[in-house]
Amino acid sequence: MSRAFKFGQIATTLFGITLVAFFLIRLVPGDPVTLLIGERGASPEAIAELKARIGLDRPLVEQYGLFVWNALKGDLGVSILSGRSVGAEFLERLAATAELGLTALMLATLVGVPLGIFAALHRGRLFDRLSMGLAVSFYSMPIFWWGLMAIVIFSVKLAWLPVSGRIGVEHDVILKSGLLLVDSWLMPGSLAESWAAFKSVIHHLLLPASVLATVPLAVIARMTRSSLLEVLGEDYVRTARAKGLSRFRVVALHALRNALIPVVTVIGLMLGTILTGAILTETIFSWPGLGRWLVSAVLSRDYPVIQGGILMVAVVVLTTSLLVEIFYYFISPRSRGRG
Amino acid sequence: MRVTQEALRSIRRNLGGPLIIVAMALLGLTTFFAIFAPLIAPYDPARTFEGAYSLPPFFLEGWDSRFLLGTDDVGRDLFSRLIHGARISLLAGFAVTVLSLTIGVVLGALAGWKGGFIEAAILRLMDTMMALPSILLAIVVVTILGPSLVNAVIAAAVTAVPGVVRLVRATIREEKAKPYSLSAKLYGAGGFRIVTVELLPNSLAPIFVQGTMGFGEGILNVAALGFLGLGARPPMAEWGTMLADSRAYVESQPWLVTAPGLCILIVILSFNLLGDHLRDVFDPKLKTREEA
Amino acid sequence: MLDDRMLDIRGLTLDIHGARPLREIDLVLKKGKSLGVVGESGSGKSLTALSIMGLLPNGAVAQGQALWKGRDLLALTEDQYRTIRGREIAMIFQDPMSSLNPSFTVGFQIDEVLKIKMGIRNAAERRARGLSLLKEVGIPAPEERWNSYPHQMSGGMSQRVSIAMALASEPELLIADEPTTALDVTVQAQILELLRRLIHERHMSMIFVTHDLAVAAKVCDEIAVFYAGVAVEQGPSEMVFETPRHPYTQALLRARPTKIQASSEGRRPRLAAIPGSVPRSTEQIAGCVFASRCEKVMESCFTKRPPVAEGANSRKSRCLLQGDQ
Repeated sequence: MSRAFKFGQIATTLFGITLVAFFLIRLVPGDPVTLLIGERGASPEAIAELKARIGLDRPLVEQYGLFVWNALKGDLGVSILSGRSVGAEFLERLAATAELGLTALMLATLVGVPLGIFAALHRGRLFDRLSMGLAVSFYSMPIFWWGLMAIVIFSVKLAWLPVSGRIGVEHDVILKSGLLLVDSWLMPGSLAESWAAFKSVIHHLLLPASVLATVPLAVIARMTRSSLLEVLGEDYVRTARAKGLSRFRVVALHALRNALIPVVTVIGLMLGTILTGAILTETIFSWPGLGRWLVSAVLSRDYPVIQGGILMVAVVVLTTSLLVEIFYYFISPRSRGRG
Repeated sequence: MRVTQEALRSIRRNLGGPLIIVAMALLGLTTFFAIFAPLIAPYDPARTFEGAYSLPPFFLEGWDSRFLLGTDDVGRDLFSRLIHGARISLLAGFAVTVLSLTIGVVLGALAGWKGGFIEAAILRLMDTMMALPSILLAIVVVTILGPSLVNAVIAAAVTAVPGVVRLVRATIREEKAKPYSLSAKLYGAGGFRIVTVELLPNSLAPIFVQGTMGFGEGILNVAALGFLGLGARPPMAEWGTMLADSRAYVESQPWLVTAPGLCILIVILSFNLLGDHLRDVFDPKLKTREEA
Repeated sequence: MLDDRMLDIRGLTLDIHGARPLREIDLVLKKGKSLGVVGESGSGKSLTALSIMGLLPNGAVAQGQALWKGRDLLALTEDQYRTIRGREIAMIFQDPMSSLNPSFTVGFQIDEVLKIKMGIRNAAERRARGLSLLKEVGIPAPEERWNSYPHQMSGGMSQRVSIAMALASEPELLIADEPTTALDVTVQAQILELLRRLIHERHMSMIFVTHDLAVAAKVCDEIAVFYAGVAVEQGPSEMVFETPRHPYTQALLRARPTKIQASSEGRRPRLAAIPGSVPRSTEQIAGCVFASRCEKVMESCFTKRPPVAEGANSRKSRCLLQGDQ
């Protein structure tokens, strides 16, 4: 598949998403203006302003154009619940979800890849069976239940980790990047205070990130195992052995280098799984991220947030898959084509 | 004699390890519970027993012999609710599978057979749906239709469609390239006939595997939506909804949360074990095809 | 006599998951000579090569001896093997395109041998050495190729790189496992010629595995013919080719189309196919493996395993007929 085609594909998908977000409001039963401004306390001026902004009295095509134009300007409307700009809220929430999701993805990779490698190298033996059995269980895990169980065990019974929140209340971290792991070092105060805040952030992250990592971990471990097993049977691995290289070099360099290419791609494309998991995890751990934001928006019929949020999440997912494509291009010599 | 021996051997080989047998037994049991729920469950799942609030299950002190697994905060029998939950979950999973397979097979076969603009249009539509994380796509559907069990089923089916479409399209294309479909064409069979009579039956194995996996995933997604309050509404005895309902008592009566969650895990694990196994039996190469 | 035996395989038997693909193989390779191992697919010729390299698949159990300069290769530990594999003995494979690692450049894959196996510390020296190797195997513009990835090269080019890689460790023995089977005919001849030249110039020994008796006779000093996991015959190339001893070799030579002579009626003579089929490696065979298809079969062939009958010019065959002579 050519590069240009791939980019074209992503562009059309983006177009499709704007259509979904645009028609979402028009498909929900009810008057779009009421939906977008809330049922109570809307002044006639505000209603008139909104009507002008979304161009409600103009043809549908123009309304759509206006919607895209506004979105490009970063104007996604105003939340009915909070009265704040949807775009600004999105960015805040995105940071919280990113912190949780990236930590989880890191955990899943750090555990899943070695697990898959060891399982492949011990194929058919006890370790392989146990770890792959664990992987199927993790893969099948209803994480909304798993998270509750984790809270009961680690927070309530053992009291090792906090139940919810992103950081202890005693730390005065000022949000700058939105990532508390970073912001804890940017806060005013001594290095010791920063360190304490940082530890608190890690402490709060550990449980939700582990729960969120469950399913990706299983997928990564299974993928790594099957990919490595496939590569170990390749001719070039036999060549490497015939060259008299050490078993470690054969596996760690010649086999893994090739086996990890599809794994890296899968990890990159796992963002969707992470976001789905985040919606559930955030609900359980009261994590102020995108998932909770969107679910509570649906439950309270905060349509501007639903519309803008869905559009932006899709943009994030597509951007990531684009980045994965570019990364893949660099790690796989074969994908660079001939010449 | 030889034939029966051969058959026995092939059954044994295809049965897989004891794990597969356990998984199938568990699914059989769940199905049995689901079908005969009103006969097996001691009480109506919605019936509240006055004075019998928050009773513990049989392995804890203070349990009531009338309620094997105890009762919830409003005095409903947990055991009865779990059994009726099996009914709802299996039915939901079944509906999701049938719905997504039907839509997916039609669209996938159309894309795979026709090619060209129709294929491109269908694939771009699927890409768009896949750009949204599955629960988010479900949220879109629930936003439009409103939260209810039926709408959760529709939402879960919609999220499952792209996977089916891609799979069916890929297998149809693969089959289409094989000599037998060409010879059917040479004999003058029509496109619809070739697809339905020649190609689809030969693509059944991967679709079947996908369906098995999709069954489990459908149950999981419907339960997740129930948990988020976007699916079945309380007091319906749906496992995910029950879980959400008893969240507040997770510390004082953990079994109210543990039991429905375990039910979900066991059923989905069984489906996934079975799906993994079917994939190995039907086509060892299936994995690579799916990834391609 | 004993001194010029570089590799002496005695009674090599291989068991894999209930199958016995190699049955008491005897094979001798003399110093500086090349030995063609010929047989149909499944006759065990590649497995014999892999046994020498210690690269047998998991679950394979080898019995017998493979004496390399007096040391039994089959008794070596993995660590001991590494001082021989890729150093004293190197190997090239059938499919050159898939035998090179797609993720590394040609240069990296040659450099690695020079660094690890040859212990050359100086990177510039390794590069110079590597480039001269590429030149030696006939690769034009080696400087450019050095940074190429395998997928950017043709099959013939890849095989040349594989050969250069094998030569990098200056091995005493090169095992070539059907090195030209996957290549175009014109390229095949070039690679064969290259191998012949290199063996001669570098005074290496070679084991050349092929299914083509004529090719083996052209390239090698000696030929060993394999059938169903047994080395049925070994001897100098021309002799095996002109006066085959074992009935299988005889049948094999009759079965190949040689000169196409039109008979008086203008029809072409029929090729002599060997009736029957090769026994499976899972079959237990008490006597000779070829007995069921042999036209000179005797009753004792089914019960008595033929011993190695040694004749003049160091010719050997495993046939009861030969033993009687």
